[in-house]
Amino acid sequence: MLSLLSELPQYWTEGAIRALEGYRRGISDSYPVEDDPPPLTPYDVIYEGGKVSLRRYAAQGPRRATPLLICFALIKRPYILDLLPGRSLIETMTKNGFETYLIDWIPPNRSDTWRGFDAYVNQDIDNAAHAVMEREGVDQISLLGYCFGGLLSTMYTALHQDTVKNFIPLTLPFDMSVSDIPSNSIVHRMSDDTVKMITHIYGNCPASIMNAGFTSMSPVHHALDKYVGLYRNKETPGYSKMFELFERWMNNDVPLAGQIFRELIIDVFKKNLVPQSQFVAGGRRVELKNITCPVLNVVADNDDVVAPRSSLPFIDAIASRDKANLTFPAGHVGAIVSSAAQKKLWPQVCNWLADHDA
Amino acid sequence: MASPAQNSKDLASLYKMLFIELPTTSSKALLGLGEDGALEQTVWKAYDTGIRLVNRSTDSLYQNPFFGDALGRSLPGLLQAQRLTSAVSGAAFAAWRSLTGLAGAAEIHAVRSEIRDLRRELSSLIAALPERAATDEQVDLRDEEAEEDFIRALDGRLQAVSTNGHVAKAA
Repeated sequence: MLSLLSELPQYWTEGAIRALEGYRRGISDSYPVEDDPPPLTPYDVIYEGGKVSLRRYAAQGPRRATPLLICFALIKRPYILDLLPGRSLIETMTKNGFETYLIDWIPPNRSDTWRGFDAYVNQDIDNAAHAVMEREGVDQISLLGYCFGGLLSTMYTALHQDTVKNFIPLTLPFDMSVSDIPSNSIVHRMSDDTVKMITHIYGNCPASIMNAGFTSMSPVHHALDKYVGLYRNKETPGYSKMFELFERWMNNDVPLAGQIFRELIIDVFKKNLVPQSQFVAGGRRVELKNITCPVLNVVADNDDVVAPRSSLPFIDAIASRDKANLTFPAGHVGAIVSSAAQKKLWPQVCNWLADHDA
Repeated sequence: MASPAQNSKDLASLYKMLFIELPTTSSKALLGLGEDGALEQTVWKAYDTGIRLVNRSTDSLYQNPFFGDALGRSLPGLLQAQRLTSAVSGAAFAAWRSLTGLAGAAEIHAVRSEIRDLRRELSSLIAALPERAATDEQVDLRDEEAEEDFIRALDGRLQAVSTNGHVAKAA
């Protein structure tokens, strides 16, 4: 146990290097996406436009009829979905016969400060969905949105219901009045002027501010406990490799376009307009009762980024008849990378999608 | 959210670990009476309880309206200070760069944009190639002619080397 004291400085040094590398990537005007680790599952890019690079992962074995489009969050790189064998959501979906498409968001640069929910939802996701439908020769897709990507997907489904056959929000930040997550209360106390000042100074919300927001959620964990965890599990096979990759991803924050940052903090977080169907994107009100397709709302029980109590009410706000909440004992990221989730959660999701495939 | 009851329970548990269990287990270990690894287990239990308590305290601090207000009020000041620092360092570095002749971020950005434009132009030219390209036979013929030109030039150079002992300069 005493060796922990001699190993901690080395862990901290490596952590500091990762943080500095993340900072360097974050301040680059053209975010170096080529720095991402190599993908586990091979893919080809079938469409590029706006801020979307659309990847196609071919289904393995007998193919399902409806392709799956995954909408990732705007604030991190998506390689967490395809990190290691046995811990890859992409691998799980393709092995279950789903032709899987992933929206790899191209990080914004100085000329993208104008981009708000309208541009991302009504242009980018819509273009990606149509590119998938055209390629597959279908009229509808299954849509899966993770975290902030879940919020974008919810807006898209409400505004373009005709193109979405099945919808799976995963750890969806929905009801922002829920104060279970401490950092939310800080966001609620930020004045609108402060939010506007950030974009006035920087144009986009810098990656370093996004990172500071995540780190401040659990400072002791980031400063000490995660390294102690690494020390205690250094004999566990694969732990240190997973730790390294996960920490690298944690330091892969990307900037958020100025307009969407303002809308997110002021309209989504502070005014909580989405659950009230009062949010407006591109002049159109996001009416949740427009969502009529089958919905499986996946919630992580131990989520400390999006409180389960924030995601669960989504089901009651939509008009779908075929809808359910699926809760799983995992954290925010564990729901996509843990081997337990690949063994127990995702097979259930695949079965649900298969039942709604015809 | 941490309730005061949970905090009290964790505090009592930590107190018990630090002042009862840890000294008892340490004494037993020193006397060789304890089980293998018992001391280590107790230390980790105390650590876990301490971390849980600290995390709950941090959460409570964030949810404290006074702390939230204070942080909310100090943010604009911090942002202004950072803006001022960036302006000062930007001006200083601009002067330093002009002295050393190094390129600034704006210049690098301009070069990058130019490269991007050139790439786009090249891609569009490549895309337009099939329309302008000759038939396969014409391409083959052109290749053969180029090959013959190359061989002729090489022969000429070899001849020059053999006569003068060095490669003659091209006219």
